[in-house]
Amino acid sequence: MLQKIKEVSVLFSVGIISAFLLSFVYGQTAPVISKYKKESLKKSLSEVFDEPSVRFEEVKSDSLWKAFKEEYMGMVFKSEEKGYSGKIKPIVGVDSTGKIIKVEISKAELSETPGLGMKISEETFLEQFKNLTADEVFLKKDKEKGKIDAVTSATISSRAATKAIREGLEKYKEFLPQYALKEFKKDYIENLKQTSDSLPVEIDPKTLWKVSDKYIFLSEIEDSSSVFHFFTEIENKKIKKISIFIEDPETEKEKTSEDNKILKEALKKKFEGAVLKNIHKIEFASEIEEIAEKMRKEIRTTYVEQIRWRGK
Amino acid sequence: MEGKIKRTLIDGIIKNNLILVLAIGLCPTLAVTTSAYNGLGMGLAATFVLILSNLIVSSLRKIIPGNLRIPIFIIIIASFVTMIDYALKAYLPPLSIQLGVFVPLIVVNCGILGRAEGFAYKNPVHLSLMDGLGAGIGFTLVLFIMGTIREIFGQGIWLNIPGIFPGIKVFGSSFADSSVILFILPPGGFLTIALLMGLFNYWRKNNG
Repeated sequence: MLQKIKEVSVLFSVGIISAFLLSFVYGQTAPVISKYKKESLKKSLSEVFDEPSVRFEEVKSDSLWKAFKEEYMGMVFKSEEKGYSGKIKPIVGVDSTGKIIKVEISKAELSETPGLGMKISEETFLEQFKNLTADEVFLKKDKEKGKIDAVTSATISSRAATKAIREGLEKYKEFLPQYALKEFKKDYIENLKQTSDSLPVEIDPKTLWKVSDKYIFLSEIEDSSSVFHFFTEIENKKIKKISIFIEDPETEKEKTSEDNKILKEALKKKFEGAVLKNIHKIEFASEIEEIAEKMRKEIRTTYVEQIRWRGK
Repeated sequence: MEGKIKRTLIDGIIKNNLILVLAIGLCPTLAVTTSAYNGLGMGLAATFVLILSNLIVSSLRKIIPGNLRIPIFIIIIASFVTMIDYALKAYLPPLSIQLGVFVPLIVVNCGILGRAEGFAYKNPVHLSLMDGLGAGIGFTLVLFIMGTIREIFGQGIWLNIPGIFPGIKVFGSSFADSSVILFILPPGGFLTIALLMGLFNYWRKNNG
């Protein structure tokens, strides 16, 4: 019995001492490591956005930064995608027109196969992304428009990195200074073509489309300070989806403030899913009432005049 | 005494070679030897831990109870590697990035546990030091040679150090562009290690 106690206490002591030593070392090194991480992040940001003397503002923690000189110059984002044996986290600098400036993938955060997948962190792979737009960010073997050669025998890693970069571009596009009305319209139609099984037919040029059983129309209404452009998708006599672009008529750019985001969400919530013949029954909160009324009138008029009578 | 120290050192490299004779620590060996630099880096890092681990286990061998020795070895080795990992990350970040995932991989290198159990636990400190050093040297040499073979045939270059040195194109550029990729994939690892084992044991047999 005494023997057992002696033995277990050795194990216990080794455990305690190791734990103590470990936590000591951790305590000493953790601040140094986090300082280094901050510095190397700063370095990465400047590396991929190669304008001298820009300052960066963090928009989303560890994901999105805006670059400013005097005015807004562009952005840097960090996205992630599951690779072959871990996550791949590219850092991408994007100029104001939405083109990639430079991509960096930090070796410290990459754990793909050494000699194969790890090569996606090297310049020879990454320099392929310079000056590309989102629709070109595909592997050559995956899409005709794609401009990226995968690393030989490391297709999964290469594809994942490419996907992370492309999806980051899509996701943060709206933070670019120039996201304008025509891009909104173009993107919507592109997306429609991609997600439908047949090609949309344009019934009224640039304002009314039909694809399978869906009707889509583009409308425009205004209030005292903004212009609202919105796509309405109608299927089975119900409003399936609404996509809104709130324009500042003086600058022609999108209004992206928090208030406008909330307004968009509120309007979407009221209209999406509504049955068309009951659209006059929807009640709106007082803050959104004015514009929602105009929207409702516009949807109803368009539906009655453009769609319902065509169905006959 | 002198002779025994030298004997232990040499045995560590040849008679008890971790990879070619004892066949332990094969997982990191196969995974890491896709290039000479990777093999070398892993070998040196593992040697460092091996020496330290042997030293500690040997100095504590009188008080470590027999039937609890394995968990105790593991605690010691894992704590050590973790402390070294943190220290590298904090004070030598570029090196830490180069070694990358290799450092945590050392914890599961059976070779270190093997030497602790097979030698350090039963031998005095000065001999355990030599055994650790010898085993480490043997390990590193084999890793470097395997890395060289696989890198040259698999990628056509030698001594590529990412970010520092592009490597020597041993067979010329045309070979480098269409080399025998098999060598850097797992089958290549198995083939190379088998070849080396066979050659090494043949040499040993004919050289006493």
